[in-house]
Amino acid sequence: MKALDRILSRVSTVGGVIAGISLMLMLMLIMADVSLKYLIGLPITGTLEIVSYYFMPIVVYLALPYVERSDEHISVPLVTERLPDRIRRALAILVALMSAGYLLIVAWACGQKALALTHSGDAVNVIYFDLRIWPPRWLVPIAFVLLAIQIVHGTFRKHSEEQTR
Amino acid sequence: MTSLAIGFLSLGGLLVLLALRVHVGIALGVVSLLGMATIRGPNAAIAAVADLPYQFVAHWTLSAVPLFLLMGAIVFHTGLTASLYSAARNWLNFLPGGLAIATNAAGAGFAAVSGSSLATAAAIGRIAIPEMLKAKYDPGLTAAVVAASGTIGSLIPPSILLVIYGTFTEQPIGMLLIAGILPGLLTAAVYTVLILARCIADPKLAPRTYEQVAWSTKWSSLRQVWPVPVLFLAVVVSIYAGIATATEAAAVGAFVALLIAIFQRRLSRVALYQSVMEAVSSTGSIFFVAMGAILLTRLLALSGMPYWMAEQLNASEIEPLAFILGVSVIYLILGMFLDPIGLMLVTLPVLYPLFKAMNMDLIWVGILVIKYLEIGLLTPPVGLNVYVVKGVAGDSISIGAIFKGVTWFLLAEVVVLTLLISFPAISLWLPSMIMN
Repeated sequence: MKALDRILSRVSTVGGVIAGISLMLMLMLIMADVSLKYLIGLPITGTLEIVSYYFMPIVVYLALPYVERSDEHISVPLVTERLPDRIRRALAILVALMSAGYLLIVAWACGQKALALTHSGDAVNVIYFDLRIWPPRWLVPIAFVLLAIQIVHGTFRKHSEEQTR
Repeated sequence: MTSLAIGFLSLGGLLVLLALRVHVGIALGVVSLLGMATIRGPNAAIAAVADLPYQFVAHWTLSAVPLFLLMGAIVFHTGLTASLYSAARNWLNFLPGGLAIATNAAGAGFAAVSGSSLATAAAIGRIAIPEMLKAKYDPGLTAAVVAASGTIGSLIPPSILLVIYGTFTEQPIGMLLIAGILPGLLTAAVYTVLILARCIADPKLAPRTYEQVAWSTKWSSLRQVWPVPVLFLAVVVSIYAGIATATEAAAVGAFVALLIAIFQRRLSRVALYQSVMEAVSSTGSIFFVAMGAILLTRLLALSGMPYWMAEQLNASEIEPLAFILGVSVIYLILGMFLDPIGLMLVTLPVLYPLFKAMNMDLIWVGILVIKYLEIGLLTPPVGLNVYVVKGVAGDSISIGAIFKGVTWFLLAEVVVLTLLISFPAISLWLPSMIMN
């Protein structure tokens, strides 16, 4: 349990930091593109494609496990707080399992899609070259599987913490 | 069961899941997946979720969201706007309730460099609340003015909410951002009148300080706030002059914020790390919810519900005004329980087709929707801005006192909304200037 905790924490932090670096790189690329476009009329070809197909998915999907780690996902408080402890905990576990089930189904579906696109070598044409866009597709299933593990793990951890108290 | 019934059932299921504390993004997704599987079969549902999560995120316009978040985070963590409050105070303190009015003005100023209401309330509150309490201001007024002025953050550009609204409703983001300027200023003005009136009627709320501020002090404090107009103009002018798309304007804003922070030697390694990671976290949680909303939109389209509702709406020959009032009620109720982004993303898939069916100007509607979301930030029990302020104020002010103080500002919001609904030009005049 502790080991899993550490691994999850490390993986999500590394993911978050890579997302952060990608965000900064995205900023620099767009700035370079805008400046060159208006200063010497020479935009950087492929800026739109690289930002859309690579940087955005990296920033969003590597951030997801990091967000879950720092518990920043948006959820609605309130109603369940009035229930007795026992029911509330059972409900929390049920909700976690359902959430994980949903995430795994989506991860599986996106994984199938990524696999198919990897085989067909999915690419977009950017005037001078073809930009392969299948690799970032794999970010989606990876992030969703991690997220599913984290949600289940987090709920059981909270559960066991409450019992030891 | 007809597709239509499945559509309605899904919305009911969504509300139940939200009440059970399921993540908004997951609740939207689960309901959509099940609904699509029931209408079109499991394979079609799987096919829909296989593509959308990537396709939705791989989006040029939406990249304005992380960049605007980064800009706001840099401004917040490097304290670029710390001088804003003292400048506002030096200039406005002579008025009854001067510190509260200064807080409100500083809130509008911070809104011009941040796209988030919560960040605006937190940034201004940290400085303004101790000052007002020290001057023996009424605690309810003190906290409420911070919570309320925070809501201007999502109207005056940049605005995260408007970027997302624009993406969902296929409206030009640049025009939407510009459209928020006057309604934002109007809100600040109405708040100011309210504070003035209350403090004149009941001087005990805000004891006068009679502190004389020399003109030289006034001018020098004003000079220190230069990063605010510079950042605001960097964003707005790039959009206005058609130099940049919303994404590029956001990049310019974030970049200029970085430059100013470096120039003022405020960009420590810690501040940079915190800013970037905060931008990344918020991006992750916003997109996760938005992804679910895209799936719900798909499900509702399959169920034919928006079409059916639009037909009913047309058949009933309801007045646009009555329709808008109905929408207000929906937002008021849901706004009590959902945060703004969740609220917008849960309601737009249902309401957007209706707005279209009523032939409404979607930029004007966008401003109204933001206004409704902002009111939700102030209403109990889940008024997020109120909790932010409570977090900043600590034990010195009770949550009940804040909600009570906020009630006055909700009345002011009714005035603002009435004006915005009666005079669409307040929202539409500035963007119409870009067109020419």
